[in-house]
Amino acid sequence: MPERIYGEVAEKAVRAAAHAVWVQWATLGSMASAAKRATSIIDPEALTLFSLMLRSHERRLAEIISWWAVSGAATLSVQRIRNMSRNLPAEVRQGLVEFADAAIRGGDLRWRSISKARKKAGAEIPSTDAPDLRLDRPPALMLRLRLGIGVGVKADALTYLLASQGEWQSVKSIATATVYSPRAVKRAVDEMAAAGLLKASASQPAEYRADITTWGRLLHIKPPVPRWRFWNSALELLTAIVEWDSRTSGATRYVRSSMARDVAETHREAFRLNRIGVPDPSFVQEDDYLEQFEQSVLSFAGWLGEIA
Amino acid sequence: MHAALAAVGELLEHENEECAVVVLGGTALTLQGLVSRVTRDVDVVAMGEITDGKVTAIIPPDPLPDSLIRAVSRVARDFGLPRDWLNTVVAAQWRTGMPDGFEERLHWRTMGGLHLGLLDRMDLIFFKLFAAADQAGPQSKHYQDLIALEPTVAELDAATKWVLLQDASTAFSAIVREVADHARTDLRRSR
Repeated sequence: MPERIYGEVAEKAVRAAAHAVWVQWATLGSMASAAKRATSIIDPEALTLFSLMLRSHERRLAEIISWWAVSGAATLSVQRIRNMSRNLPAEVRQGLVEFADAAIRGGDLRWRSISKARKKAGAEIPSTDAPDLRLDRPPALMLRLRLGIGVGVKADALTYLLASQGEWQSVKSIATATVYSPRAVKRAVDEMAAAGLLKASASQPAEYRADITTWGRLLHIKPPVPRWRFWNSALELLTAIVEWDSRTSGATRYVRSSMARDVAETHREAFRLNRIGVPDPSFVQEDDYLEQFEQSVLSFAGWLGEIA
Repeated sequence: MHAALAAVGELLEHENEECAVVVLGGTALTLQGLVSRVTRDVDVVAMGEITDGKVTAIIPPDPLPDSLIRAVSRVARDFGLPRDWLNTVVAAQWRTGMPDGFEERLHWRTMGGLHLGLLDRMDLIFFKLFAAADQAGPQSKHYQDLIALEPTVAELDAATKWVLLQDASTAFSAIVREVADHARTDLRRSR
């Protein structure tokens, strides 16, 4: 895949994202090494899709993805990654198909719904010198709970509630964070509350919380639990920034500014959920929004750099 | 309005689209430097058919092309303008009748993918007299525009003749003649 040439601002966002992804892989004990460790919860599907998106920019990611397809595919939710990839560019979705092919070769047949491979080829055995997945670091909590509880809504909802530091959360906010349907989330958290694993409020609609002291003791995690970041929204925002950069390359200042407004308006939630302060486009008229948008992208890049 | 129209042209060009519209009213006046005032909307009275980048025919403006509607709507958002800042409210005039030969007198301007056909001063005098009679009173912007166009007596006579064809009612005829007389007086005083 040829390396894309980005404009200055988009390049900064892409570079920051590549760095964030690299740091997360290093935290999970992949072949990546980094001086820094991830400080927030690693979302494995978002990390996989981010990596597929950025592999043309950071070629070493291709090797990590190959390792991950064999070593980590079993910890991923096929349905969730498919939902999350729906609005991503064709090359990322194609990358996901290749990833699914590799996962099947690694023996995980759940990926057949994404893979184009007709039948399972000879199982791909991880190389003996391939590093083991590290789950002992707090940002790997989501993967850890999936291994313990099972890949699905329950593990992810619990991760989100723990990362919310024991705050009450609605079904809607859990669904937004975990990218499962509200109905699936409601069923899962109600069952967990009935089992005494979560607390449900008496209010209508009910809210849910996880007791971080009890869970922290069980999981050997000292509070605060790493914070939840809305990586899925961040991924869609980065995609939109890259598309904006590509579509408006060589366009007039006004056209760039106008299409930047589209990105800001469509992805307002990505900024809000991740607490990235950006100006409201409706306060600035004509092509004056361009600088504000560029500043917003730089803030996003800064956020990626800080929270990796 | 010039900046907003230029923005529409840029958007159309970016989408590899071309549109041609014929405008009258304040926009046609200000873009030709005939008067200097703020305009709030763009009155589209006709559309042009484009072949190989050139306008080859003038046709009714309804419906406006989708690409133009999209661009106008986007500019409305970006410039804080009303959604109908470029509209075809005056398109009914196309059915009632346009001054003879107005197509040949149009002044074309190109802004990116937007071709703007501006009515000639003579045709603007016709329309301004019509509008001034419709909104009677020397304070009306149309009357002020008419005076700013400084029509000669012959031009006012020709305009009166054309406007009277637009509405045959006795009451309207009387108003048109009154406005024209008023304009002649005002123009004589100012010369």
